[in-house]
Amino acid sequence: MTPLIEASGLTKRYRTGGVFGRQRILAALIKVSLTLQEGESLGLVGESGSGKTTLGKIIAGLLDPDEGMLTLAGRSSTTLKRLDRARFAQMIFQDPATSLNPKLSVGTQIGEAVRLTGNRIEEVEVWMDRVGLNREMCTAYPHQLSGGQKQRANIARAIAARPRVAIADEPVSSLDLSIQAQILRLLSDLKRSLGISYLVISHDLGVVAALCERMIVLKDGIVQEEGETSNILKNPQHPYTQKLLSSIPRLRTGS
Amino acid sequence: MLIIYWRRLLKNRLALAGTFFITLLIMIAVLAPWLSPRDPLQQDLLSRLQSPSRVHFFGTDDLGRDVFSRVLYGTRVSLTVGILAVLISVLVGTSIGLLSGYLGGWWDGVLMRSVDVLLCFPVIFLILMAVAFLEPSINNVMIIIGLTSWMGLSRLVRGEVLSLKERDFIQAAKALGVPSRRILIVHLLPNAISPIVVSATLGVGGAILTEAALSFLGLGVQPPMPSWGNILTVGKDYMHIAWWLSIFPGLAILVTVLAFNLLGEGLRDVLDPRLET
Amino acid sequence: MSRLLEIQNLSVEYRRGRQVIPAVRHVNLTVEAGETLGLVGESGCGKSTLALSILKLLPETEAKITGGRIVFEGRNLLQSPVETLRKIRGERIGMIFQDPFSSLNPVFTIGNQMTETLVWHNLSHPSRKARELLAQVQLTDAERILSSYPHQISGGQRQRVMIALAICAKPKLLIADEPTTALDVTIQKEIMDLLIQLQKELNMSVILVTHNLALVSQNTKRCAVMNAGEIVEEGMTGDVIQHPHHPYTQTLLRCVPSLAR
Repeated sequence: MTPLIEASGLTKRYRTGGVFGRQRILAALIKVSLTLQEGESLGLVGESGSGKTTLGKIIAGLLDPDEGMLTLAGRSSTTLKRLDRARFAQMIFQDPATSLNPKLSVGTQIGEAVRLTGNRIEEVEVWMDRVGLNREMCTAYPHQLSGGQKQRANIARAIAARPRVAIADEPVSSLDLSIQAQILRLLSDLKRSLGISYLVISHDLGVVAALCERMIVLKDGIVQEEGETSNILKNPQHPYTQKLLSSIPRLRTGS
Repeated sequence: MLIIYWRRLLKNRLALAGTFFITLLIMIAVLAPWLSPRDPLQQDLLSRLQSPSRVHFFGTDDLGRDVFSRVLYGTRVSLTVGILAVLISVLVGTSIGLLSGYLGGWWDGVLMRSVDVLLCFPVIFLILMAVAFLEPSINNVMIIIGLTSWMGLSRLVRGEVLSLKERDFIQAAKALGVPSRRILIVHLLPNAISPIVVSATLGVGGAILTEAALSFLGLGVQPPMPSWGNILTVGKDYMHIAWWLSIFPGLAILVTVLAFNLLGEGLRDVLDPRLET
Repeated sequence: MSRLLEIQNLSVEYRRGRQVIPAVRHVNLTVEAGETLGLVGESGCGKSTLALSILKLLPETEAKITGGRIVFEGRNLLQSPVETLRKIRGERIGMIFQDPFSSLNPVFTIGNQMTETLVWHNLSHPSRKARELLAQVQLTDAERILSSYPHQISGGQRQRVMIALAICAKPKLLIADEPTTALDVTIQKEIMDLLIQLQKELNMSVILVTHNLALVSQNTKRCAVMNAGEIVEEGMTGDVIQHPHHPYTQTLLRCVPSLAR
């Protein structure tokens, strides 16, 4: 079966230092490959500087790789037009506070996603129901919503475009713990009801564990380990993965 | 969104004060014919250079015209020129700033270097050159001031666009396939509007001062049409015997510019409070 | 065990225009000498406000302490004159914050900022002391770090520098406000381990303010759970985790992700 996403040898470099400073070339991604099958969810785990967000943006079409090939649903990404790209993958951005336009109502922003599919604007309310937002919030502005509600709107905007892949960049990092659990449950439910595939980018192994069957561990732009989530969590092979797991503070029930 | 701004405006003292005075000035401008005790153009050579009295509140000028009436009518000139000149500069500056910031690359380079070149000329020099080509009149003054004061605004808008361009919600709009034109007008512009509105409001004061200066030099509004600037022209020759010819138009300019500055400062708070990110 | 810090019936309000928002309500809390106390709660519960009010670091125009006493080493800090507070800050009570980047001045080198602080606290041989401190916080590349600007070193290194500055005068109490939240998880562990080690070395008390229950569970002996400005539960950490009484604590515990169990 043709994988939904097939990436091989993706490399991306950034140049730092201005005209007067020393110019350094930083590699954000070095020869990264991955596959995502239809209906499955893949987690990209890494700490800051691992390249996971860069990888997500390349797949979403927001960045171009310097080297490597990206095939989406069997077609090379370079042959796809902007609208095809938009219908293939959408991104759920990280910080709900800055990922929504503060001057436009929530309904208008979700409406732009609906417009992409060519469906009628009334569908906006359906999507709001699906993400658990009160229909009255349609005319509300982002600053009138709570963190959790903003994130729901963020999610609605991405999936209302009916993409085949939703790329969630740190979907719950900036939320309170109790809200995190709600949003993770929402994403899980949507996965099942819409048959959408996820690419989940997170530094938090717990988030990936909740949403993804398979995962990739990244460090400094290089893949350290990949495989089924449950296997990796039970039996991490790579020392970096082991270090990641052991660094997570755990609830001690002893005194 | 406008309702939210309106409510905030009503709570902001600076903005309210400014709005109050500006409304007053607009009413004076509109109702000048009814508020003026005399025809501002009516000369009365027997009553030249009379000091303020119950008959002539602000005295008379060198041709016996009632200064009070002339100052009232002068409000029309100042407000019209101030507001329309700023509108022109906002239109030009915002368009260029938006395009320059959003398109980047070659366009950005060409547009911004042109702005740099224009900014090298002292504004007064540009204005004088323009006036040399065109005859001095109220319309020309408006256009000239408008076309020589948009540069700063274009840089401001370009800066806003550059920082907004990378924000997630703009990336999201791009990712959704929203056409560039809509991104510029619906997404970017409303977020860049606050500094534009504030800058424009404060700019009205500047435009009024420039018009006054031009009219003072005889390059702006020509007598007999009254402008605060050209009343001052007469005043400068008679300063030692007719102080009222300088003080009253000067005060009018002061109050008007102050009103717009108050409103501008107040709008700054109304449009960009700490409530929004 | 003597009581190092005793917060009695403390209430703090935020004032914005005509709006009054209570942030801390009648809070009672004690910290014994040499112990680590966890202060847990979600954002907005008032834990940071509480921590900042101990050293009277709240912005005076917005926040007002409306009642209570903060007794440190027998002295009520809320009644103490400014000079006394200045001496206490850094020398008796140290504080580290969440974002080391904004706590360090970007236009001065690390070495510059360290010597300035050391001189201020009348510590002799500041340059030698700076190197000793960096070693104490396990920063091995001392020379490079001292000559670097804050943006040239990593987040973890910046936080270690902050800790070094906070403990330079050997305070008896260290308040750590979300010290690891902005750091990568592997660095988080290192910094927490460092804090625990320093606590033992210097025999100081630590108040760990965080939203992460698992972090508290792993690193503190006693803890207090805060919600909406009030302490809803308090006790030995192990007990609170195993037998939570208050429904809010129970909710918090339920939300701890499975990997952290």
